[in-house]
Amino acid sequence: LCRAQAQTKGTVLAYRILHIADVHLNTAFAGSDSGFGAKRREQLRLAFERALRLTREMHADALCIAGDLYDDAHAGPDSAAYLGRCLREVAPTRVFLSPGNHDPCAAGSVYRQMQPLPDNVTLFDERSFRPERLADGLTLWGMGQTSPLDHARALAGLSCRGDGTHLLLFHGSDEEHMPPGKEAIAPFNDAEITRAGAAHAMVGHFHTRLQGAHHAYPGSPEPINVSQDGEHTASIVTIEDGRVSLDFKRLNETEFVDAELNVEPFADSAALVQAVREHAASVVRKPGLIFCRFRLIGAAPASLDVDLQSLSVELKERYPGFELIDDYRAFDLETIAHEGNTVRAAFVNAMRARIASAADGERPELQAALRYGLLAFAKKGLRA
Amino acid sequence: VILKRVVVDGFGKLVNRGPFDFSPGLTVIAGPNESGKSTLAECIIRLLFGYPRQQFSEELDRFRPWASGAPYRAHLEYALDDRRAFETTRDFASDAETVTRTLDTKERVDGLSGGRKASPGHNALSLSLEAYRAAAVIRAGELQTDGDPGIKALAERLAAVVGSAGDEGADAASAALRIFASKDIGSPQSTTTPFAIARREREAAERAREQASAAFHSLKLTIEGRATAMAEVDQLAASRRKAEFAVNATRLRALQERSREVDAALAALADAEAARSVVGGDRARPAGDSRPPADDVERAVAAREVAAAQAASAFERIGDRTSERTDVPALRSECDTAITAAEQRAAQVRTLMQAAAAGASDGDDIDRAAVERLEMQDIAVDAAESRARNAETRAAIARQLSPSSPMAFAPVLLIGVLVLVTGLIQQAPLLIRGGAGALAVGLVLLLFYLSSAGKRAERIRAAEAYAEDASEALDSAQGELAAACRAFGCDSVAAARARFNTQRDRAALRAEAAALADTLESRRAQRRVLDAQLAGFESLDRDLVARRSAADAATATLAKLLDDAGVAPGADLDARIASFRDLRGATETAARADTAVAEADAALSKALGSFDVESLHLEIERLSAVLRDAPVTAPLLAAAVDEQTALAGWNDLRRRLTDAEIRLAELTAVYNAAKLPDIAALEEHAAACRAEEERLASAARSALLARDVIDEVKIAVHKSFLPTMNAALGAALSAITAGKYVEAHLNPADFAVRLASSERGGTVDPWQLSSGTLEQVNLALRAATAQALGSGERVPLILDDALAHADPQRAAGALRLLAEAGDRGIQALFFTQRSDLVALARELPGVRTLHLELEQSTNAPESENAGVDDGETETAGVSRPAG
Repeated sequence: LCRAQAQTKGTVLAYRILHIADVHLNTAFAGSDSGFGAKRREQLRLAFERALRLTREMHADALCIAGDLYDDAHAGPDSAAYLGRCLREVAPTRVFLSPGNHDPCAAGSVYRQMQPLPDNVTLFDERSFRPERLADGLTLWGMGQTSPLDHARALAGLSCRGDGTHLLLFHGSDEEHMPPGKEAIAPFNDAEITRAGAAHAMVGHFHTRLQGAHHAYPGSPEPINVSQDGEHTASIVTIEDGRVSLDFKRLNETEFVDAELNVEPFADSAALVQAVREHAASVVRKPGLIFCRFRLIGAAPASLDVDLQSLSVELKERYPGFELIDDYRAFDLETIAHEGNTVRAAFVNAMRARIASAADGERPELQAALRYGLLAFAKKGLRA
Repeated sequence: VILKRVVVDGFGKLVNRGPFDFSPGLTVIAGPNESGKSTLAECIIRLLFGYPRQQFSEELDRFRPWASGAPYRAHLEYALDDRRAFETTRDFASDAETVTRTLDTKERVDGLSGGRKASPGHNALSLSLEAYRAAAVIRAGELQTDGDPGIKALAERLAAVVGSAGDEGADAASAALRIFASKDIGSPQSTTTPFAIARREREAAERAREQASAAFHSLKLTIEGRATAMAEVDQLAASRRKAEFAVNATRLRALQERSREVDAALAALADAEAARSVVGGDRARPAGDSRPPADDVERAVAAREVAAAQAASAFERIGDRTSERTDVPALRSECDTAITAAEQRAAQVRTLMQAAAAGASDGDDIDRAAVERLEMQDIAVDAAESRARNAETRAAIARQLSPSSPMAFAPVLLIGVLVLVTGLIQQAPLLIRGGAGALAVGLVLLLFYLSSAGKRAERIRAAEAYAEDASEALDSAQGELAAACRAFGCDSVAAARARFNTQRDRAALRAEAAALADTLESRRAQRRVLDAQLAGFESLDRDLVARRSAADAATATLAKLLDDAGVAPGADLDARIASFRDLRGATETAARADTAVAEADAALSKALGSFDVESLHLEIERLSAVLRDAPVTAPLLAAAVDEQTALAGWNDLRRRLTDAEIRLAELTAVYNAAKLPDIAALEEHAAACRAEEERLASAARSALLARDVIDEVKIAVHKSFLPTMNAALGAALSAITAGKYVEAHLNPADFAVRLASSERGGTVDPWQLSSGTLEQVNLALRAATAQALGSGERVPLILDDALAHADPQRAAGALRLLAEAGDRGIQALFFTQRSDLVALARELPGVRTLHLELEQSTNAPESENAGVDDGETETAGVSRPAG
C-alpha cells in the first residue's frame, strides 16, 4: 500500500523511498569491444529494472533517482521511450528525477524527449532547489543539473522553509570523500545539508555506496568499471515520525574478481596456458557476470616463451570482461644487471636508469622497451 | 680465481668423493662415460654460484644425491688473484646453509655466506652463473674451429657471450628488434602490416563514429526543435483556450448589450406607435395631393422677404445722401475753375523759365555759400590792398627822414686831441685832463652817431620789407579771388553775384511750376471723385428701381404659391403666410409620428441583428452556460477587449496553433523515423581500434628504443673487451706460433679476428691458420673473454669433454695448449674420457691428472669412485670412507 492509500484507510504508515543513482544506461565502456559493451549495457538495463521491481515489491511511496540515469552522449529516442514506459509502469508510486552531469536537463536531452512526462513522474529540471510535498510534514527538495560541467556548490543559498521533515535529492560530489585527481561536480559537504535544514540528502555521483551523517550515495546499480569494486545498492529511506532511517539493498549481479597465477612452475608456454585456462574456468563460474582481473605473477623460467596476447584474446572471448594482466617477471633484472660486463647488463642498467628518471606516463613504454630488449637477447618471440 | 680443492659429500651420483685437488694450471679429470665428470663439473659450478633461481625445484632436485641418506653437500677451496683464500661449504638441501670462511683463519665471511643464492663465484668474478657457463665452460665441439665458418661461429659465439652471456649477440638482438618493429608491427607508411591494418580499422571506426555523431547531432537539433514546437503548441493551445473564453465572454457581453438595446427599441417603438395614433399618422394627408410642397412656399416667403429687404436697403442708401446730391455739382464747377487758373499760370512760368534758361551762362551752379565766400575773399583783398598802401607809405616816410650829422663829434675829438697833445707837451695836467675829457666826449659822440645811423637803416629795411610782404599778400589774395571766380565761370565777384541771383530766380520759377503741377493734379483728382459721386447717385437710383421690381416679383410668386396652396385670397400677404404655416405644422406632426415609428422599428431590427428576440435570449443563455463551465478563464483578457478583437485574436491563435501543430507533426515524424546506430558501441569500437593502433605503435616505439639503447651500449661494452682480449690473444699467438704471429686485432663491431704476421708482414685472416692454431686461438679468446667479462680476476676454465670428437693429433695439440696456458696463469679443468689424452697429460709438465672411476652401489643406479692418479708427479683425489 502506498501512503495515499494508507491514509484513506486511516492507517499511519512510514513513508518509504527507494533511492538509486548513476544507472548510466547507454554508457560506453572504454577499453572493451562493442560486443562486450552491448552486454554490459544490457546488464545496466536489467539492474535498473531490478530497482523498479524492488520499488513495486516494497510498495515504496516514491522512487528517487539522483542523476546520471543515462549518458546523454549516447541516448536517443529509444532511451526516451524506454524510460517513459518504465517509469510509467511504477505508478502510482511517484518518481522524482534529478538530472546529473551525464544526463543534464538540456534542450535535446532524453528528459525533454520524454515530454509529456508520465503523471507520476516529477522532473527537477532547474539548477535551483524547489520543494515537492510528499506527505503531511514531509517535503522533498530537488534540483537538476543543466550542464555537464557544473562546478558551483550544490547547496549554495538553500534554506528549506516550512515545518516538518525535509529531504534533498540531487547529484553532486561529497567533497570530503573526493577521489584524488578527480574534479568535483556540484560539491557539497554534510554540514551544508544540516545548515540547509534538511534531515537527509539522497545523492548521486559516486559509484559505490557511501554514507555520511546526513546523506548517502547508493552507488551505481552495477559497477561501471573494474575500479568500482565496492557496494552497489538501492538505498531504502524510511521516514517515520520525523526520523530518517536507511537500509541498503544490493542491486548488482555482476562483480569483479581478482585472481593470480604464479608462472614460476611453468617452464613452457603450453603448461602455462593450460593452467591459466583451468584457473580462469574455476574463477569465472558465471561468464558475463563475473569480471575477472587475472594476474600472472612470479618470476618466469628462462625457457618460458608464451604469447599472452593470443591467450588474452581467447579468454576474453570465452569470458566477457576477462582481463589478463602480465605482471610476472620474465627476467631476473638484478641478476642480469650483474651478470658481467655484457651488453645485456649494460642495456638493463641503461634502461633502468631511464625508467627511474622518466615521468610516470613514459615508464610503460620504457618498461616495454626493456622487456623487448631482453626478449631479443633471449631469442624469444617478440610480440606486440 | 684459482680452484684448489673440491670435496663432495653428496651431489648427484657423486657421494663421499674427494678431495679433488686441482693444479693452478691444467688439471685433467679422466673417467669413462657415466663416471660423474659432468656431475663434478656441475658441482664445482654450483659451489661457486649456487642456485640463484631457487624457485626452480626441478633444477635443484636434479643433483640430489642418489645415495639414500647422503647429504646434499660439497666443499670448495679456492684462492683469489690477490692470494686471499676461502673455503665454501654448501648444504644444497638447506636454503640457509652456505658458509664461506677464510681458508687460513676459518673466519666466516658473511658476504659470501647465506642461502642457495649466495655466490662466491659471482662475488669474486663479477659473473653470473649463466655468464660463467657461457664464457668459461667449454663443451664438446666448441673448440673446433675449422675454416671460415668456424671463425665466424667463434665470432658469433664471442658476440653472444659478450652480448648476453651466451644467449644472443647485441647485433642479432638489435636486428630482431628492428625486424619486429618494421615488419611484425610495421610502419605507418606500410599497407599490409598489423599496424597499417589497425590504422585502417581505426580510421573506419572513427568515420563510422563521426557519421553516427553527426546523425545524432542532427537528431538532437530535431529534438530541440520538437521540444520548442511542443512548448509552442502548449502555449498556443493555452492561449487559444483563453482566447476562446474571451471570445465567448465578449460575445455574451455584446449579446447582453444587444438585448438591452432590443428592449429599449421595443419600448421606443411602442411609444412611437402610440404617438402616431394620437396625431392621426398616415391619415393626415390625403393621397393624390397636388399642392406645392411646403418647402417651395417657405422658400418663396424667404425670397420675398429678402427682396423686400434689399429694396428697402436701396432706398435707405439713396435717402441718406440728399445733401451730397446738391454740393457735388458746385464743387465740380469750382474745381474746373481752379484747374483752368492753374494751367494758365503754369504756362506763364514755363515761359519765364525758358527766358531764364536762355540768359544763363555755362558753368557750375553757384550756391549762396560760395557767393558769400567770394565776397569775403573780395573784402580780404580790399584789406590787403589797404595794408600794402600803408606799408609803402611808411617805407617812403622812413626813407624821407634825415640822418644825424657826423660833424657833431669830430670837432670835439679834434679839440680833445689838441688839448691833450698840448697838455702832454706842456706837461700841463689841466690840459691833459681837459684834452682827455674832450677826447672822451668826442668818442661818446662818435658812438652815438654810429648807433643812430644803424637804427635808421634798420627801420628803412623793415618798412620796405613789410611793404614788400603786404604787396605780395595783396597779389596772392587777388590771385586766389580771381581763381575762385574762374572756378564758377565768372571773372569777378560781381559777376558771380549776378549769376547767383539768376540761378535763384530760376529755382523759384521751377518751384512755382512744380506747385502748379501739384495743384493741377489734386484738382483733377478731386474732379474725378466728384464725377464718380455723380455716377454713384445714378447707380443707386437704378438699383432702387431694380430692387423694387424684384420685391414685387417675389410677392407675386408667393401670392401665387399661396393660392396654389389653397390659402384663402386676401390683401394681407403675411396673414396668408401665417395661415399657410398653421396648415403645414399639422401635416408635419403626423409625418414625424410616422417617421418615429419607422425609426423605432429600424432600431429594433438593428438591435436584433440576425437574431430574433427569442433566439437572442437563447444564445445568451447558451454562452452563459459555456462560460460557467469553461475549464480556463481569462476574465482580465475578456474585460480588456471587445468581441471583434477577441475573435481576431482567437483566429490568429488558431492559425498559429495549426501551423505549430503541423511543424510539431513534421518534427515528430522525423524524430520517430530516426534510426540511430548504437553510438556507444561505435564509440567503444573506435576506442578499441585506437587502443590497438596505439598498442602496436607503442610496441614499435619500445622495440626501436630497445634497439637504439642496445646499439648505444654495445659499442662501449665491446670496446672495453678489446684491450684484454687483444693482449691475451697476442700473447697466446706469439707463444703458440713461436713468434710467427705477434699481434691480434678484434673488430669491436663483430669480434672478427685479424692477425699481424711477423714473417709476411701485414695481417692475415684467421682461417688461413692451421686448425690446431685456430683452436688455440679459440681457447685463448675464451679465456680472455671470460676474464674481460668479469671483474678482471682470472677465470678457471672448465672443459667438459671439449675434445671428445677431435682427432688425436688435434686433441693432443689442444691439450698442450691448455698446459701452456696453465703456464701463463690460466687454470683449466679438463674433463675427458679419452685415455690417449690422459696419457699425454701425464707427459706434460705441470699437469695434474685425476681419475673418476665407476663405483658400484646398491642405492644408486650408478656411482663413481675417485681414483688415484698414477701419473709420475701428481696424486689426484682419493675416495673417502663413507660417513
